[in-house]
Amino acid sequence: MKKKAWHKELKEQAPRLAKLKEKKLRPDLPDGYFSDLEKRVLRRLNEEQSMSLNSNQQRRLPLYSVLQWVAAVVLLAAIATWIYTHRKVENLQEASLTSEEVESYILEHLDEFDEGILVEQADKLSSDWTVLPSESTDPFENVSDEELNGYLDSLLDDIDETTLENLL
Amino acid sequence: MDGSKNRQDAAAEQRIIQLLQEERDLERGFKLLMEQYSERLYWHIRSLVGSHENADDVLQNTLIKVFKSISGFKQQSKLYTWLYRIATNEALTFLKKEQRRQTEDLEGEGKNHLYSLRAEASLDGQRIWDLLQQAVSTLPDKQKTVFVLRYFEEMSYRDISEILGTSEGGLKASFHHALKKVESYLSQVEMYI
Repeated sequence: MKKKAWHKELKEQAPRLAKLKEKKLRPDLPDGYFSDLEKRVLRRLNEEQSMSLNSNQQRRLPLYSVLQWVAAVVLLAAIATWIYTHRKVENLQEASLTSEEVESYILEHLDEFDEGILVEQADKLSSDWTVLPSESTDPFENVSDEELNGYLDSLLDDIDETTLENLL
Repeated sequence: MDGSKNRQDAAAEQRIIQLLQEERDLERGFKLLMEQYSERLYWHIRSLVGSHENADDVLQNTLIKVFKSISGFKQQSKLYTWLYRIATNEALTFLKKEQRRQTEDLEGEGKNHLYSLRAEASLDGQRIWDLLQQAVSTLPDKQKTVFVLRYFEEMSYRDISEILGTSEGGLKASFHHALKKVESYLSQVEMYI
């Protein structure tokens, strides 16, 4: 009843539109469109739900990434510290010189050193050095008194009186 | 006849709402909803956006939005008017994006269309549809929506008011203006046919 009244009203207000309304207005659709639509919508929903699960995991990532950054910084700091200390040791090792190098340096720059210091160092060194073996301090230990006297007599025989007077 | 159909629709709507409220029946309820309303929503959207491809995209987006927000449906309105509201919003949003995207002069496009119509000898179903779509596309969004719901869907002003949240008096005025504009557009085209 209401629809009839509406169509009558439409005819009065817009006769062309009323005429078109009597015709088949809707164009054809692909076969099975609506059953296919249902499947596509459900598929999309499943995809979006799995994507939202992934994005939830990604939302947790900032905490993980912060931890990763902290771990990376700590690791880098540890590596840098190790390299630094290792290099220092190497430098010290490189800096230590052989005694030959020290000697040659001193000889080259002898004029630049204070004499007092050189003497002091030389005394220190000489006290450390053993020139002769301790058990052979007396070079004539194995020579008998007779041999020694005979040797001295022969020396005296060879020296003339004037030289002897000068020596005494 | 109409009363019987309305009662069937109301019963189907109640059944769908019941299913959608239960977590385990959600998918079943949603499938039933699609069976019941997809075709009506499709033609409503198609009347607004024009082509099948666009209508297909917008309808899919609408149904997905419906599924996601079904828990927010408080039954303060009919299910089908709630569905139409979502579909209308989706279609109008799509049209706004399309309008921004298009750099072509709409007026020039209209003239071209009139020119192409002149070349056709007769109006078949598809041509009538295209012609009406062209006329509808010239209307502002509000008038366009009211015209589509009233002229194509033959929806009551009360239901349109529920969908658009506008008074029935305002809707009647909008429809009247839209009717005049479309009729005028058709009279212009008729000169070329």
